Amino acid sequence: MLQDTHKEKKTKTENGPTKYKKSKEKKTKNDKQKGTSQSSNENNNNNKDNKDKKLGNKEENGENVNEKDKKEEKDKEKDKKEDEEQEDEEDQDIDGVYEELEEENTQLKNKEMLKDLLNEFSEEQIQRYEVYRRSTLPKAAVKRLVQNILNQSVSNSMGIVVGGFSKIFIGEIVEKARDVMEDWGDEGAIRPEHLREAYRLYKEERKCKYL
Amino acid sequence: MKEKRKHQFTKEIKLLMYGFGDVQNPRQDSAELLEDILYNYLQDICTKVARVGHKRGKVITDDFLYILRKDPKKLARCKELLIMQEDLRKARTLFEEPEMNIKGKKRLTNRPEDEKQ
Repeated sequence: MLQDTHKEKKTKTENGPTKYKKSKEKKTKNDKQKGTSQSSNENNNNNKDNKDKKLGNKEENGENVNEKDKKEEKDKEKDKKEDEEQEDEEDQDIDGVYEELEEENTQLKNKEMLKDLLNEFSEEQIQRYEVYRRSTLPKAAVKRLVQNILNQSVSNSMGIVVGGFSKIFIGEIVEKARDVMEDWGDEGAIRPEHLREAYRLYKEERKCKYL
Repeated sequence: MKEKRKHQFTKEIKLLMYGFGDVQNPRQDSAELLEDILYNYLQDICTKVARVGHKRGKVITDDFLYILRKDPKKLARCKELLIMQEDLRKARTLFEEPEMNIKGKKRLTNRPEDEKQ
């Protein structure tokens, strides 16, 4: 957080961008260069997480999460580098360009891997993947719910954000419930006991990370 | 948790469960329980957000991003959604602008429909 505010102060002369606008500038830069988009890349990483779970590959899932952390670190490095570029042009320009190219390379690879994976899917998997991508909580109801909890008016983007991370939360719980089912040797539909156990494990994992 | 609360999201939650790994028709009681778990979680998050935003007087979107700082998955997804929202908004303004222009005027950027073709 402190780093981010520091960066914002540096670039205040331009437009005073917020955190997410800054990464958007980076993305438009990438788009101009090679016509790929970083947002789809992060999306792919997310999807890969879930698809790998479905295929039963837990190790890959761990790696993907690590990849994501590394990517965020890379993004932070890139932000710093872009700031330096504006000051000293010659030497650090080359480094910045190299890192950007490297990242776009991985983006293209991820896209290709995703395409190949989708080609290999069975019909049932394709159906499930489509439902996974399209399903969402209804925006209006989520907005109303948050308004009632916070007792104040809620903007559209807040509704979208809450809908987004609640979908991920539900996904984490359901995936954990599947793991619990495997542990207990059950089959078929997920039962409430599995969900309760999954929720308990979820809270336990996050105990150490809390404020 | 009130037991009398009506379950609003059952249909959507069933779809979400199927998308994330459950059977095609998840159980009704599982869906209701998941909705209760979700309410609990949202209340948790929203009380934290209210505490953070109380100083400012109102709550803004960035407060949610601050609360999620320890959860890289959710944080990344939220940022991505906000960026997509911006892009869609820009695309919509580009889409509507040419219609308001005079007929003979040249368009500086391509409309999304033209680009698809």
